[in-house]
Amino acid sequence: MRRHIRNTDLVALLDGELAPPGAERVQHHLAGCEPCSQRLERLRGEMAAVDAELDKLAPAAHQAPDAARALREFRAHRELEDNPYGRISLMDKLRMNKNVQRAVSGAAVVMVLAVLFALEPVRAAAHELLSIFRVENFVVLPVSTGQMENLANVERTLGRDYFPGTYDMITEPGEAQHPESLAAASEAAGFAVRTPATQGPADEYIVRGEMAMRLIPDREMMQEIFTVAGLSPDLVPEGIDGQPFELTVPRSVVQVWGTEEEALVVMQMPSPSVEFPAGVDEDELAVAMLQLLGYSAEDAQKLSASINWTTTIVLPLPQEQVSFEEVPVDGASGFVLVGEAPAEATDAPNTAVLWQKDGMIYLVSGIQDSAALLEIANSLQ
Amino acid sequence: MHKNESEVPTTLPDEQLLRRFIDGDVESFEQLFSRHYDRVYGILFRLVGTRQQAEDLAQEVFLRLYQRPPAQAVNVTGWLYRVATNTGYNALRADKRRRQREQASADDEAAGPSVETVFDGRAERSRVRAVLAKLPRRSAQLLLLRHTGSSYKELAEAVGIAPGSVGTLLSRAAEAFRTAYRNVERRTE
Repeated sequence: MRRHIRNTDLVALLDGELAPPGAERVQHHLAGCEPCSQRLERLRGEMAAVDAELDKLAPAAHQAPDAARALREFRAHRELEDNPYGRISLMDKLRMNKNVQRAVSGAAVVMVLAVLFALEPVRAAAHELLSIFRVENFVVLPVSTGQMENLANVERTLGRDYFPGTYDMITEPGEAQHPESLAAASEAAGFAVRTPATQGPADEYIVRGEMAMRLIPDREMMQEIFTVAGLSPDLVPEGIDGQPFELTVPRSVVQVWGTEEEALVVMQMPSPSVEFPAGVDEDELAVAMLQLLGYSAEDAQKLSASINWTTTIVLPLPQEQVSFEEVPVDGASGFVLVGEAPAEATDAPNTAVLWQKDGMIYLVSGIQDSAALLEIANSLQ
Repeated sequence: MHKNESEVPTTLPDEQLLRRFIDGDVESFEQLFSRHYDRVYGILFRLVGTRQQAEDLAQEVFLRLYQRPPAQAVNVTGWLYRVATNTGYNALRADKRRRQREQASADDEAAGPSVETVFDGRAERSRVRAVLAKLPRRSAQLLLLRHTGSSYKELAEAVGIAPGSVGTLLSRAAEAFRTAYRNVERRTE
């Protein structure tokens, strides 16, 4: 046979991956073909050289895998996940952990925003807030996929323009400023901006203006949402009609290193605040909103009882898209959020560390893994 | 030592375990975990170089299998090794401050070999990882999975290519590795 052997077959031969008939044919050819034999030797040398290099990366004896321990750790983690209150237990932790409670107090995002945020007009109005947090789906608490679909269906049924009340901007954030330096950013923001010691000067500084908006709910229109979502309209508190909620998001500073998807972003801003109208029972409202977010009446009661909604910032996380973990960071307690990329995705998932300290909210996000991001977060000075 | 708690041996193939798991049998998942953990950890360790990080990433890989298992028809090994190499490769490339990690790696190893060996080996390993980070993702995946004992069938499934082209792509990947290695070597000299 005069046709030369292709590299693919030569490599497969070296790796013992050529089925017997093919292997015999190749061997036979090699016996009488000097160029192919030489190519085989060259490939053998090349593969061996690569293997010799990769050998260096193998774990040493004391770094060997411990599958049994790993499985125990996995089980412990999974129990938390499987527990019907597993995801809610984060909230229990908030209640239990004094430090966390202190960390989050002063910052307040009201439950009522959850339902409003689920609707397009408010999503647009609240875009500033969303972009500050860089969390695209800003709803309160983990929301199951099924319930996300349910809420999307509510929006389809009532129309994208449906808004259960009125809202107006009190303070427009205006155009963002782009100071040249850290010092200039601090001056523009009106507070001392901290920067990670692990990084050099940022490539970009962005200072966003303060934003304040007033939301005035219409009870009947809110009830319509509950009805379409398959819930009792009586859940909506009677006292809510026409009561103004004021949301204030202070000036924020964003430092950026790198570009686009690979950028490392550090955001700092004084805690936002919400003014809760006196005539509204926040527990009653919270129970209603939690049910709208897919929690059972019983879970909603338990959760509501455990949280002071007027002083708690609640992280809004579609549970299929973002996973989270409580971590110590910067001398406070915070959360690592990991965006879930599809298993076959080629991009690194976006990771973020979010915490609150001394009245400031910090967010560090990038494509680094959580350990690397935490290191950056812990180096803020 | 880490084997002495291993689960009851099973002869069920991966695909059947996966199907049982999807039907709600958690024990089947744990068998998959025990069966593939060492390989997944080995792949990740080679890419990230510290025990702690490799263990954390391995948990992530299996958590993904647990939370969102692939369709039943999918080859479990190929899926797992793809997710593992992707996860590890992302970590490797995303880390622009590898020096510090290598320092951590040295700390990790301090319990083992002598200081001199650690020191010499550290630079070597750092160089090999730098080379892997420079390769096209698929090339790095192929070389690493082959090196850790994957069959061509597994390789093909893991990176989504026809089994017949594995050899060609491997030889190209090896060549790219050698070229990148020489470049990195030149720069570090």
